[in-house]
Amino acid sequence: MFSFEGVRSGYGRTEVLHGIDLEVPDDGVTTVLGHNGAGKTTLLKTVMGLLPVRSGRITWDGEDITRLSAHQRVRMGLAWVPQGQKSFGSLTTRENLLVVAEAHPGGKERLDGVLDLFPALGELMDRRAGLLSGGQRQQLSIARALLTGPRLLVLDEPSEGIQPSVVQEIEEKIVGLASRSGTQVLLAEQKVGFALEAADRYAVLATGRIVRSGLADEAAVDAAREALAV
Amino acid sequence: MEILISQLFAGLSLGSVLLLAAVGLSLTFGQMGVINMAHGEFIMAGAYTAFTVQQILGSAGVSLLVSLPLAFLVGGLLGLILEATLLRRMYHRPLDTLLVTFGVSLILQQLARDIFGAPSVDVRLPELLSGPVMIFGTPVPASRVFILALTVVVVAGLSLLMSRTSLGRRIRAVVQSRELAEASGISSRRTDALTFFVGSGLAGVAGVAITLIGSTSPTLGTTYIVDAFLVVVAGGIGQIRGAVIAAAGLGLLQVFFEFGTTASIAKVIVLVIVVAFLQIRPQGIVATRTRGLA
Repeated sequence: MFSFEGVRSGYGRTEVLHGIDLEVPDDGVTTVLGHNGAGKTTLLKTVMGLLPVRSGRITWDGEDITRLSAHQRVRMGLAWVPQGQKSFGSLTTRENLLVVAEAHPGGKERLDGVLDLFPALGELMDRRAGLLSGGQRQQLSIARALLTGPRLLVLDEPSEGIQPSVVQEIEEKIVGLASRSGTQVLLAEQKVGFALEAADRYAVLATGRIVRSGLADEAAVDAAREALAV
Repeated sequence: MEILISQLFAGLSLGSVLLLAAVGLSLTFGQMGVINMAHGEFIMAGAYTAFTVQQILGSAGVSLLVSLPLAFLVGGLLGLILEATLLRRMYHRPLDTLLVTFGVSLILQQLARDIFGAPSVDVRLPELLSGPVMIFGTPVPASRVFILALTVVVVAGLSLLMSRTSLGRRIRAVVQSRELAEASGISSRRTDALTFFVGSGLAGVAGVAITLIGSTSPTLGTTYIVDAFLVVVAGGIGQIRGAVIAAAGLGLLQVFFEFGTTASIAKVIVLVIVVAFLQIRPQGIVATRTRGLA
C-alpha cells in the first residue's frame, strides 16, 4: 500500500497540494482526475520525490519514504512516465533505454521483453529521441519506466497530445501490465473516459485537495464528472 | 614553404595546448554549467605533480609516463573535493560558483608557493623529446609533437567515453534533464561528482603536458584559464567538436598574427575577432542545449 498522509507540497513559496490523503492499493490501476492546474503533476512529482514534502508523510508498505531522493525511490520500485512524452532528446532510442537499464540490476535482461511490448521502438533504435513522434516518445517513456522493474508505475497524462489510436493502444498496455505482472499503476488524467476505462479506483483532485474518491464502477463516471464540474 | 609549414605547425601546436587546457572545462563548464575559476590551478597541480615525480624518480622518461596518470588522479581528486565541499551547494548559482572558485584558486596558488616556493621550477625533458623532428623537411620541437599526439589521444578518449560508455550516457542524460535522470533511477549527485573528477583530472594531464614547453610556477594556471574558457565558449558550450575547431582556429590565428606583429598585438587581434564572432554567433561554432543554457 502506497499512502499519502496529510501531504503538503508545491513550488518555491507557492503551496499547491493542501493536505492530501490518498491510498494506492497493492494491485490494479488508481487514477487521479483533475482539470489543468488542479495539482495532478505536483502530486505525482511529490510521489516521485522530485518535489519536497512540506508537511505530512509518504509511506510505502509501512516504510516512511518522505525524505528519500527520487533515484532512491526508483530503486525501491517506483517508476515515472512524465507528462509531455519527455525523453533524453539528444540520446538515441537505444541510449535512452540503455542508460536506464544500466542503472538497475536486471535492467538489461528486461530489454528484450520491453521491446516485445513496444516493437515499433526496435526499428527506431538509432534515431535520436528528439526526432521521434509524440506517440513513439510516449512508448519510449513507458519502456524506460518498465526497464526499472517497477512495483508502482506512475503515469502523468499519458494520453495528452497523442492520436486516439495510440491512446487506445497505450491504455491496453497499461491495463494488461497491471493485471499480468501485478504492477500497481497510479495514473493522472483529465480525460474522464480514458481514465476510468483503465482504472479500478479513482480520486478527483481540485485546487490541491482530493474532493471525491471511490471505486471506478459505472456510477463513478457521473460522480467524477460532477466533482470535476464543481 | 618552410615558413608556412613551420607557422602552421606552431599554430596547431598552440591550439593543442589550448585544447588540452580546455578539454576538462568542456565537461565541467560546458556540460555541467559550473564556472570553475580553479580549473587553472588544477592544471598547475598537474604540472607540480610532474615536477615532484621527477624529483623522486629521477629519470625524465619514466617520470613523464608515471606523471600523466598520477596528475589525472591529483587533478581529479582536487575537483572531487571542490565539488563535494562547495560546488554541490551552488548548482544553478553561477555567480556564486565563480566567486567561490576564484577564492579557491587563490588559496591553491598560495599553497603551491608555501610548498614549492615562489620562483618557477623546470621539469627536465626526456631525451627523446629534447631535439627537433623533421616534418615535411621542416624541423619542429619533438615536445610539441608529443603534446599534439597526447591531445589527440585525450580528445579521442573523451569522445569515446561520452559516446560509448555507461558513464558517458549517464553524464549526457543528467545534462539533458536532471529531473528525468533522477526519476529514472540515475543518481545525479554521483554523476556530477564523477563528471567533475574526469574534467578536473584532464586539467591535471594538461599540466603535465605544459611542463614540456615551459616553466612551472604557482601562477601557471592564470596563464591558461582565460584562453581555456575562450576555447569552450567560442567552440559552443558542451561541444567537444566545437572546442577542437575553436582551439585550432585560435592557435593558428595567434601564430599567424604574431608573424607580422608581436605576441601582445596578436592576442588583442584574436580577442577582438572572438568577441566579434560571438556577437554574430553567441552560441559558438557548434550549438547545443545544456543544463547551463536550458
